[in-house]
Parts: sequence; C-alpha cells; structure tokens
Amino acid sequence: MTMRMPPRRGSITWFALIVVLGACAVSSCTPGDVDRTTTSFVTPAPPGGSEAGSRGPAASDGPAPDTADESGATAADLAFMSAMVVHHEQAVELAELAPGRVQDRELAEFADRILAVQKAEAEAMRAWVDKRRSRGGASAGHDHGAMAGEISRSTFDRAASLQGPAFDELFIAAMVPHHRGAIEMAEARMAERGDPAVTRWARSIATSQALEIDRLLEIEARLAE
Amino acid sequence: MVAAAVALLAPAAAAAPDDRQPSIGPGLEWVAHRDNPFRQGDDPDFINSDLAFTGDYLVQGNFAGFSIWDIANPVEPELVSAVSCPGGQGDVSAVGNLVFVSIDETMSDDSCEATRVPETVENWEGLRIFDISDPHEPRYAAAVRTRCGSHTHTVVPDPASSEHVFVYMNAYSRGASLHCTGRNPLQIIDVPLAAPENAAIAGELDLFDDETAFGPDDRVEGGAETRSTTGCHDITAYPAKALAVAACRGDGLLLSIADPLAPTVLAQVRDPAVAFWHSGIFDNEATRIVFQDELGDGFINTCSPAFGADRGADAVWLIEPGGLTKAGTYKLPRTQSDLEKCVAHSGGLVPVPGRFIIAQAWLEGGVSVVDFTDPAAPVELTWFDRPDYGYSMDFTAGIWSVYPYRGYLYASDMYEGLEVLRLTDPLFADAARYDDAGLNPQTQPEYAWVWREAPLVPSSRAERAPLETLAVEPASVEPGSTPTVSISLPAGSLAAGETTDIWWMPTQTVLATVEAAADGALPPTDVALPGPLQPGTYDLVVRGDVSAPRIALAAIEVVAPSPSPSPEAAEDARNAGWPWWAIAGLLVLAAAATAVVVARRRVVLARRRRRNTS
Repeated sequence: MTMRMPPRRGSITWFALIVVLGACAVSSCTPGDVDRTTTSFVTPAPPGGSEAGSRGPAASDGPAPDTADESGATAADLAFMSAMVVHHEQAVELAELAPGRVQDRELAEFADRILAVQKAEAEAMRAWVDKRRSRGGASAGHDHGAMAGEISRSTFDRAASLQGPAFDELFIAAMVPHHRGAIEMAEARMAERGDPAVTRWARSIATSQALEIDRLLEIEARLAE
Repeated sequence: MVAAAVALLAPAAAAAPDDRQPSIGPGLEWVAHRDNPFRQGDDPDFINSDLAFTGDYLVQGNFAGFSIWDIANPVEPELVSAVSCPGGQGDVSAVGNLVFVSIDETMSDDSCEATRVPETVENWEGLRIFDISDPHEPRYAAAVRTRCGSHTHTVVPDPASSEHVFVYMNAYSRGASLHCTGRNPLQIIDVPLAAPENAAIAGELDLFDDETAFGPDDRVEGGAETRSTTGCHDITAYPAKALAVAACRGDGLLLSIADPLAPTVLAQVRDPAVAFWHSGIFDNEATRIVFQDELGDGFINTCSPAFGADRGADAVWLIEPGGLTKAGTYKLPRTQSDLEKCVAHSGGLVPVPGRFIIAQAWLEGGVSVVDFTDPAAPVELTWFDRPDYGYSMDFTAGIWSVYPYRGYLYASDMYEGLEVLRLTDPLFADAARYDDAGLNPQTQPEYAWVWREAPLVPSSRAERAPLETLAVEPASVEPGSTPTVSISLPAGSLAAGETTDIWWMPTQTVLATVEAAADGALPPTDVALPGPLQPGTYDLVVRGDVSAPRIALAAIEVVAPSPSPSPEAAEDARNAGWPWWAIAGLLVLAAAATAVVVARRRVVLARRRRRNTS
C-alpha cells in the first residue's frame, strides 16, 4: 500500500490556519488583538469606591527623569548609600576591637554578629555605589550624605585601651547612638524620592539596627543589675 | 539517584543556560521551569514573591502584580494570566475564587495604575482583593487600606461560619511615615466570600505592650524609632489546633486563635541567637515550631563560614506547658558564594506521617528539604541549588519560598520564575497522595492519613443499612472460587476526583486504589476477591480520602450448594450448572454431528465401491 503526501505548500497553509484558529479558540480573539495570546497581561480596573483619580498627581517615588541615572538611582540614593558604607565600616571597626577585650559572653557574640553582618552589608553597598559611579552620570558625585551617630577617633582609641567591663560599657555607649544615627539616615532617605529598591534597603537597615539597639539596651540593663 | 535525576531533568534544564545548571539532591526531580513573566532584566521592581494554591491554580505574587498558573498537570504549568498591579511585596493567599494581595509599599492610590510614592506624602497601602472566577480576566473586587499596609497576611477561617474568612494583616512601622508610626496593632479584616467588596476591618488589637516592645520613649530626638518590635512580620495559623505562631521582628510569639477576632499571647520569646524573627512552621501535631531567622533581610550571604552554623538559620522550639523551649538549629550545609544572597526564608511542612519535614527556601541558597524529627539533629534530605550569576545582584535575589502541593514542590524564584520539583523518594508517597483542594501555606492544614487505617464497619443492621450503597455485580459468588466482581457507586457518592480505596474487610487490605469521577461516581471497577472463599458473608468497603470517614458498603454472599432432599432433586442437581437451553442446544449439536458422520460414511463407502468396480 502506498500513500501520496499532500503538496508541501498545501500543508504549510493548513498548518498556519490551524495555528491561527487554535490561538483564537483559546483567547476568543478578534483580528485586532492577537497579542493577548502571547502576553497574557491584564490590568484590572479599580474596585468600586476606589481612591484612584481623587487625588492630584502624586510625587512619585522612583526615578525622577532629570536626577536619576539609567538604573533609576537618584543623587539621594547615592548619598545615602555611600554615607551608609562609611557608617557601617565604623560599626565593623568597633566590633573588631571586641575580641580579647569584651567580657560579657552575650555581648561578645553580639559584637561578632555585627562584625559579620555589617561587613557583608558594607561590601554589598560599596559594590552598588561603585557600579553606579563607574557609569558616571549626573548623580555620580563623590559627596557623602550626612552621617549621624559618628564614632569619634578618640572613642576608638579609648576602646582600644580598655578591657573587660569598661570595654563592654563603652562598646554599648558608642554603638547605640551610632545605630540610632543609621536609623535617622535611613528615615531621611525614605522621605525622599529615589529607587524604590533603595527605599526597601533603607527600611531594612532601619529595622535591623533597631533590633540591635534593643539587644544592646537589654544587655546594658542586665550588666547594670 | 543523582544520575537519574540529571537524566530526567533534561526538558527543564533546556530552559537554563549551561552555567546556571542547578545542583540537585537525591530523590528530587526538576520537572518544570517557567520564566517570570514580569521580569525586566535585573530590575527588582518586577521580582516574584510568595505562592498560594487554589484547586488547579497556583497564584504567584510579584512586586508588579501576580501570575496565575494552571498546574492541573504539574509538569506543564501554563500561564493563565499575568495581572499587572504594582506594589510590594505582593504576598498572596487564595480562598476559592478570591485572591488576596499584600501591599506595604506606599502607593499613590489603590488602583493598578498606582505608582510608588515616599512614605511621608499622602499614600495608600493595604490589602487588594481580586476575584479570579475568570482567571483570564481577574476582577479587582476590593481594596482595604490599613495603617501600615500589609507586609504579609494570614487567612484565618471563622470556626462559626464558612461564608467568610478573617485576614490578619502583618505589618510594622518602618520609621518616618505619614500614617504608619510607632507600634502597629494587628488589624483583622473580615472578608465575606460571596461579597468581597464588603471586606472591612473587623478588629484591631495590640499583641505587645510598652514594657516588652516599642513604647513612647523609643522615639529619639531626630524622630527615629529605635525599638524593634513595632508589629509582626508574618503569622502562621494552625486553625485545627486553634494556634498561631507570630514572627514579630525582635520577638517570637505563640498565640491562641480560639477566638480569631481576639487572639491571645500564650508565650513570648527572645533569643540572643535569633536576629530577625521572620516566619514559623508547625509540625502536624503542633508540638514543635521551626522559626526562620532572616538575618540581614536578604541583602547578604549568611551561608558562609563567616556567619557560622546558627546565624541566619532555622531554630526549632518545643511547645511545652511552660512555654517555648529551644531544641536545635539548622543551617543550609552548602556554603554559598559571596556573590549570592542566602538566609533562612519561607517554607512549608511536607506532610509525612510521624515525621517533621519541611521544604524551605534559602534565597540563592536554593531549596532545602530538612527532617526535623529529631530537633537536636536535623538532617537535610535533598536540595535544589543554582550557582551564582557570575555577578552579585544589587538587591535580594533567589528563591523566595517553596511549598509542597500534591506531591510536588513549587518554588518561587524572584528573578528566574517558577520551578517545579517532584519528590521521588517512597518516603513521600503519602504526601503525594494527599488530595489538596487548595493551600495557603501560612494557614496550615491538619494532615490526616485516612488511607493508612482500615475503615470501621458497624455490625448492627440499623447502622449498616444506610451505608450499603455499593453496587456489586455479581452480588453472590460460589464457595471455593476466586471471583472477580465489578463494583460501582452513583454520582454524588464521593468527592469529585478524590483518591478512593476499595477495602476487603476480612483481611483489612486494599484491593484497588482508584480515582472518583468528576461527578463523584465510582465508575464500574473490577476487583479480584482473595480466594478460595468459604461460604459466608464478607464486607467490601469503598472510602475516599476526602469524603472519609464516610464509607460505602456491600456484603458479598458466598453461597454454599443447596442440600439434596430427594433422588429426583439429586438428578436435577447434576445438571444444575446447565440451563435447559444449553442442554437442548447440546442435543441438537449431537444430532447434527451424528448426521454429518453418517453422511460422510456414506460418501466414503460410495467411493470405495466405485474404485472397486473400475
């Protein structure tokens, strides 16, 4: 038994027709909106009683076209991030003094965690800043934003000379205002326009530093007993 | 085992560039990958977040909206729609045809055209409710504003009514903000399922007080908030046990939710080793909790020797009469590159009887399936872990969450998309069998292994009668035989499509496991009864996993031959197996055969005669 293959052109025509009919069958398309079969994107209308449109144009977070670079970062983002790198490095520097000087075990453990976390965060933020600086652009200045809760050089020197309970006391006394400063810096950034992802990072820093302040105050209260 | 997994993942692997091939542990098969439909390069405003399941649909949250996947065939997920509606972090739940989406980024308004605005200007954040009755065209049904929005949320059923659900809004203040400052109370939204547009805040309570958490003195001169516990990050409810575990930044709480509108704190713990209480998972018995510590909030790699084995880790706590007792920790055993982000993140219970196994996401550390049955010595059973990108993502990246559903693991990767993994180890046979009708992983179901215990059959006639709905053909069989019978149930007897066992009660064994029809019928099913059968009456039971403990019952009669009262009867009995028409037919055949033989004989004789004469 032999079978004759249909002419090649015919088979292509049929194939195309089946594809078109198949696509329309799933999406009930009209010739004008074939795209839906490939994108599947929908944007629902607002719900009843929506606030949409009742307000004037809002100051959008995110890239302001004149100040943001191609990644959406603004001058405020760069200032915040570069100041926070330096700020974190201070926490790392103080925490690095702890081994051999700190007495309280929980505080020793805590200092060690600050060291690991803030070192990693500082590196991540520095990479972020370097990437944007190397791209140049309007916002790529070298000015750091304001740094709050700075630990003075004399405090570092004093910490390096202390041992045991005296070191513990100084560590907490310096680190708590330092962290409060970080929270102030994060909140200042959150009140400005910028890359929403940097806003999330600023929130995260504010949250984690508040957690650490809590722990330091608990340890301080325990040591005072 | 690893080699087999590698061979089987070929179709999925084709989607990934060669240098992004994952490491896959034993007993795990990578069966599908789907790209994140929203993805725009490395832009973090389009990353995926959490997952929820309703029937054959998987809802995947995103910072730009959510996706609906048809997972009727888990190895071929199909994108039904990608709903564009920006706002992080897009934590999702699904109840029937409703989808709830958490927004805790300050937006210009409640619409899907909204843009992100700073916290300090007029803004909207809260819960969005969508109706996905037509999953191709979801309808935005309601927007409920809450004071700190919704970082995550938790669906809590009302024990008194299935017509609505409560939604716990988990959120905390982030600092300077127009609406959201100080300690944020737990706000509870009531959602009428048939009229979601009427969803509204039904209750509000403070889980903390000034002594134990953020108080008025915790705002310093510059305005910054300096205490950590200003609300909860996530809550996992276990309604069957009337319990919930709340991970509230600096604190872990065990709650009673006996009255869902008035949860009470049963225990509160702080632990120097836990930095950020992120989420919690109960074991099935509600005797243990695994808490995740999201140290560094997902922006750094804590899965390295610099962080050690108990930072950014899981911690197991025992629920004891006196409160919570820490019993062990688990950290992802694979060191990750510092180009990756890695920390304990979201996961769910893998239902295995008698064990405490979870599947959990570790961002770019991938998926880890861990056995916590011995809390002091947790064991990793298997994993899925991609290598780094060759560069570091600017912000958080990797697998946000992973949950088991119908025997598969569904992993939500922020940038890469959706991964489907199958647990192939026989250990997970019961997990695969479980008929999930839906799953919000933060509303833990109580898993019951109904199929593992033989059904109880009543003996009294009055109790049995209403259960004897099983049709058996033939209903009575002969002694000494090993017969095959056909059994069936009419529509509506079982739950649609549920897994159903046919039990042979004399030996308490399962003869067959079948799937109920979509209309709840049991289609005619042949089963071989274990013989040889002695005379008597035997019970056959049908029980579905979902409709259990309800059963359908039939009594099989094994009928002994009748005694012989007279010689005539004995004569009849000899022919008992032969109906009259068969005997008549045989007689006709015999007569015909005789006639053929006679005729043939005649022909042969006639030929011989002819030969002799020639």
